[in-house]
Amino acid sequence: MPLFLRNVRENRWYKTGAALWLAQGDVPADPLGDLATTENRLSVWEVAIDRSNVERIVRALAVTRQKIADMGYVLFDSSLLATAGIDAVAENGETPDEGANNWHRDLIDLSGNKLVILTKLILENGESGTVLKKRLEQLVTDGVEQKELPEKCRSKISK
Amino acid sequence: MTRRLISETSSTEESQPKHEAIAATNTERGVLERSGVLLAGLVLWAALTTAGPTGTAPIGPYFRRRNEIAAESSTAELERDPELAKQVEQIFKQGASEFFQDGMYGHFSRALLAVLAQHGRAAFRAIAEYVFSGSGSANVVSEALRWLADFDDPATLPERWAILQRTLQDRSPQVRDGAILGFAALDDPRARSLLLQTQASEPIPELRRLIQQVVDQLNATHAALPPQR
Repeated sequence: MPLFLRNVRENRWYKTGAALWLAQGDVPADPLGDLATTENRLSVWEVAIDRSNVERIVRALAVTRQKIADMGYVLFDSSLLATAGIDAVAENGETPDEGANNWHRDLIDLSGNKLVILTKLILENGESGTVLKKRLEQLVTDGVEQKELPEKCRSKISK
Repeated sequence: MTRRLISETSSTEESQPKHEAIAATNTERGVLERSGVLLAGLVLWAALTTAGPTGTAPIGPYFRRRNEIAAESSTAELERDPELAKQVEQIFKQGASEFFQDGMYGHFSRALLAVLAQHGRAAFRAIAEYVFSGSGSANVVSEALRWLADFDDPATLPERWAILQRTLQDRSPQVRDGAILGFAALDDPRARSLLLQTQASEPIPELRRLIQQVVDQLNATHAALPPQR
């Protein structure tokens, strides 16, 4: 099964150090802030099984921001969606990287309960990571030179 | 709510006398309320910015020649500006209502960058005082560390380094995350030993991995430098 990637602030997704006030089986609220929906859809990206496209996806997301900065993400197995009763559909992304946009998916018909279940499943079974700013700047420079990104993306570096 | 440090000293032997000096100062005054915390922060601030061995605040950029750094002096020489301290406190308090996202400016980051641009080292001192007091939101402090580390001003490297070094030991994983990413932004290979020491005692696996990423980056930065004559 492929993995899905969602960009997040990684320090909201640490698995350890759960707050003492949290009831057993409950989830902290802060990670939910990273799963903002539009029309009850959540934007995610399909990652190759060998994870070879993770950096390209994160780069595509990074150039949609105001400046290139450290970018966090979570990865989770797409099989978790069935557990949460969530469906995914292919929907082209809207980043400046046309090649990466094909990997975009929307999780659809999301309710509050489904979102909480998904958060819990990601916290329990997923993993998080961060691509450092310096690495992203290099990736953006390479992407522009290889024509995967438009020239204007350079302006996001060290802005 | 206040934050506390998981360790009040670094593991280097050089740091021990500084810790004792701070403790002695507090004992003599007999004050452990907020003013005492602030005083301890100031004393530590002075100690950090005047020290020079590995693992403590450097006195200049990694690439600068020795004869170019003589004019720089410690932030401890700066007078405390109560108005600036109040302004910084206000900025941090207002930041608590923001949702921070990677790569995005917000009211907090713009206000922080503006005060840094306007007041320079005095602003770093005021920020250090507030951050070291432990009274700020961990989330906001973490965000602040990312931005202040990235502040493009080589003359304030000692101030930024001192704040990051101290917050690497913060009790909050969010704050430690900001400090680690701050050292990535500095991209100064002299931080490697400090980060490796921190990694050895870091309880959160994600942060241990993040430290390793930063150390790998710093190793690459070091390897890319031209050999010194």
